[in-house]
Amino acid sequence: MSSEQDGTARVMVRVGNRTEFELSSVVRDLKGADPHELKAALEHDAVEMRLNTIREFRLAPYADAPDLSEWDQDVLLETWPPLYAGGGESAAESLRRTCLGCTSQISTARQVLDYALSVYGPGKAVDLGKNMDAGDFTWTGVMCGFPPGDLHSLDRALSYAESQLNRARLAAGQAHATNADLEGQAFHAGTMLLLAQEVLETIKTSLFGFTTAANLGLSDIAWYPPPHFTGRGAMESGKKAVVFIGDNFIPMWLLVEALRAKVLTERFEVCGIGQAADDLPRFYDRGRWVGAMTRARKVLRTGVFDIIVGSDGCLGFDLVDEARRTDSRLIWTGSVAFGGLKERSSDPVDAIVSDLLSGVPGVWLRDPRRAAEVTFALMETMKQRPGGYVLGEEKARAEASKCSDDCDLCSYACPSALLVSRGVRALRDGNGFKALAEAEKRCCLCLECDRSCPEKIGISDLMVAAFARKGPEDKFILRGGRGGGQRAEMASNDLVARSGSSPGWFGVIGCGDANPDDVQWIANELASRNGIVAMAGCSVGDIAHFHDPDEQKWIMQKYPFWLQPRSAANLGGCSACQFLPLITLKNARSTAGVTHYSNYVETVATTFDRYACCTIVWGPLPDRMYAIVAGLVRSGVPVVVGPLAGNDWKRMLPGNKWDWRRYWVYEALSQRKRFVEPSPKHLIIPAETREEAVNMACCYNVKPAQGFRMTFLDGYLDTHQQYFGELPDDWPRYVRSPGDLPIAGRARFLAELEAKHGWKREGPVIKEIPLPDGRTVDQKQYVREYGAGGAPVTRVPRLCVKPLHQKKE
Amino acid sequence: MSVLKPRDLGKYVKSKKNPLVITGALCDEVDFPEAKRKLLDFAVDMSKKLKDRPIAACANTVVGLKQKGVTNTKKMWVGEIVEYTRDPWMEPMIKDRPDVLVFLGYTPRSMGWLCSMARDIDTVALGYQAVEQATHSLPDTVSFTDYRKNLEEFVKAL
Repeated sequence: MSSEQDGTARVMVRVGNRTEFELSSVVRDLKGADPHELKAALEHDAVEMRLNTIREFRLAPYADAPDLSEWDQDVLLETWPPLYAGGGESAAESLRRTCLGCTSQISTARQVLDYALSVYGPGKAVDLGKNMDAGDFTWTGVMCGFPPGDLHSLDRALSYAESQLNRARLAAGQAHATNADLEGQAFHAGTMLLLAQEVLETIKTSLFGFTTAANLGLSDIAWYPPPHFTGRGAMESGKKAVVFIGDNFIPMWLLVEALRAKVLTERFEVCGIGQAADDLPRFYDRGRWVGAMTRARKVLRTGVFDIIVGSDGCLGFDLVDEARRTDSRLIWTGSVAFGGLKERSSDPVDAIVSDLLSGVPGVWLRDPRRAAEVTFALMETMKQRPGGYVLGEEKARAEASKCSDDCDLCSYACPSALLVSRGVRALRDGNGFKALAEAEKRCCLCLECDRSCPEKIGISDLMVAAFARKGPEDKFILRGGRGGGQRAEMASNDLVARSGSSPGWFGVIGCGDANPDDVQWIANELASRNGIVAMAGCSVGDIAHFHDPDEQKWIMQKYPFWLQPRSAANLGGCSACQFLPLITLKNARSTAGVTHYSNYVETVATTFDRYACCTIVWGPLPDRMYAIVAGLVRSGVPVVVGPLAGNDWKRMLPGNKWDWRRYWVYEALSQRKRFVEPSPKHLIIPAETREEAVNMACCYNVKPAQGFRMTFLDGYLDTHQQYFGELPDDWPRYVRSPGDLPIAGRARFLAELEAKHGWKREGPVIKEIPLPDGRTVDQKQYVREYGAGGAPVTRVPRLCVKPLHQKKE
Repeated sequence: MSVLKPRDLGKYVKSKKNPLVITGALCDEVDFPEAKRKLLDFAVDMSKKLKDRPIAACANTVVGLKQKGVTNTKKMWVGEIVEYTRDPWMEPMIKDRPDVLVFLGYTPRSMGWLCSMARDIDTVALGYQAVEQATHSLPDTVSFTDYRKNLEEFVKAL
């Protein structure tokens, strides 16, 4: 389409006092974006000096994957090419998996948005809170080119995400696409997921009163929101219990509103699993977090829930079957049919309730209002269930007595490599349920052990019994999600963290199927090392179980929620994962004057080599996390996934630290290619142990263009020495001068550089340092040739500094 | 893929000029109480029998290996090692490109995953079950006791 046709030619954009350009000169294709809206956003947000400094300012509203290929393909996939497990189809499989992972969240965003539209209308204003402005709508701004001010604009953003997901699905079926094309689409689909999550989070905080720190001053954020006890142990016996599972919070919110209106909150227990568990405490402090989505089956089989309300999410099993097993009643509220349940939103509440009471195991109610009404009516009328859903110790021992000494097939079958057979035999030999404790703690009840057992022992029943036994003790302090960070927090962080007091930002996310001890240790370890730890998703509840025996505090009492050094903040549920790259996305605006509107590449390229920011994703992961990771790495957040055992992660984006030619940047002033330290070493790499994960995360955070490198390097070296008893083999590659070396041990490091790595010095003066290419140079030359050297750098040629003579033009 | 008897697999590895043994997290987790041995002990045995050939100590195994007297080892990352196989070999620990990667201390599923990623190199999976994606692997067992016996035979043949 020509610029005349799409209207860009007629739109002049004026930035600052002296800069004016036609919108069509920076936007090749508006793709239906409103040019006047984009003009307004740019005139409000763009910084004149920045525009005039870079070689080419180019925007891509409603970007397709190929619009961002200069970043995806020329930078990311060039340096960290994908490595697949399996055959030649793997890139397509990887994309299909990413698309699958996006689907349920985008579908839920649509369900929630449609509900909000039906209640409030398209003109209903949305905002992110008192201390956020329109520019804080990160994903909508960067991908669509406008700040959404109302539900209608959120609708436009989500429609864009839906259409892009369709294209990604189409690409996954293309027979002749290259790996790079397919991975570009996977990155893009992941980005669309994060955009849909922004739509969801905006609706949650803007219209449904979810906790958000965006209304608070910086000093008030630290201990907000207030803590409360939750968990299975916090449930009061004798009360009817309803549990919500899945992503759609609306039926849960409506039910709580009804309970509040009728002053019945004390009479019933409202619980959550998965995203519902993370959402519930953000508007109802009596809500109970009872489990991660990946452990849903184990939680449900304890039989404590009278009513189960399910919605789309990462469900990997048949809810109808599970409801039947414990005589619970199921109300399915998802967007698509489930388990053969009939859709009955148009039926009268009494009729639905009557059917459910008379033995119908479940109904499908797409209308969330009807779902909440039926749930409420059921809670009032449902009689006590027979009980006895969990094995007692004697019965369990009798079951275990079938286990023979010369068989470990259940351990072999366990995807998490748990030593199940030893636990079963110990139970058989009279050691009680504690014999199963270690395996049960990590067991997600995938039932592989049941299937593998030649004696047909119901091992999963033993696990459930051991788990149920721990119920009363499962009580811990949780603070609800605080939502995303304010720009003021980022700016404040810049003053504190970047000046050498923190090893950086660390996202810790997962689906709650890892060893809880591991995620707790990771979060505590990083925060105690002065890291800025941001947690989101199902693993938050697991992490919240950590109790520090020395300080006698739960982790959410121990660390503040502000995004400052030595913090561990709960951002929220799965949809809060979209907040994780904020340091890379927001700081381009705050520190370099980069407008983010329709400007994805410049935004992430500006911060990629500067900000210490990475994420650890821990536990065997559903497809959604696969998609989230694609979106994260594209936005400049390298990821460690693990643990390897039990993980089904079939695509890595690894670097090769010994191949020094792979790691380079452009010096922005000269556009000269400079070779730099291997950083980030990888974009996606698996770790086998929690120690590996933390160490690699610290390594990721040593970036070429950051100042105060000593703190970041210290994090890498110290964790390696502490966990593995030796220095990492590549550590000299990160040292440019003695000033980079941690003060504690600097003399020792220098001595080792001399003894083993070819450095030569005379007194305090460094005389010779070997470059990666084999040449030996003096200190001055070394800094001139290797590393970013304090100069502005970029990986995208058009973002280099415009030559002076061009500036004059 | 072929499943070899432990003795034959041992002979095969012994016949290789430049094998690289890779030890994973399970080396620290799996033990054989009836023999009072850990899986890691078999890595130590392999190092001795292979005349101090290097061991790529992945996960946290470097700590235990060094404690048990293995000197030609260092902390490495299994994801990085398989990545190295698709480039000209540059890892300085072992001068030339290995002619076989020997995995110990991984689940069969993880080994399958790793073997399928490694390029143009033979792979040996020393797991408790056969690994389809490996060039050669130990046979299926039904118990850790059988697995230990397989490993003992394998080491004996080195």
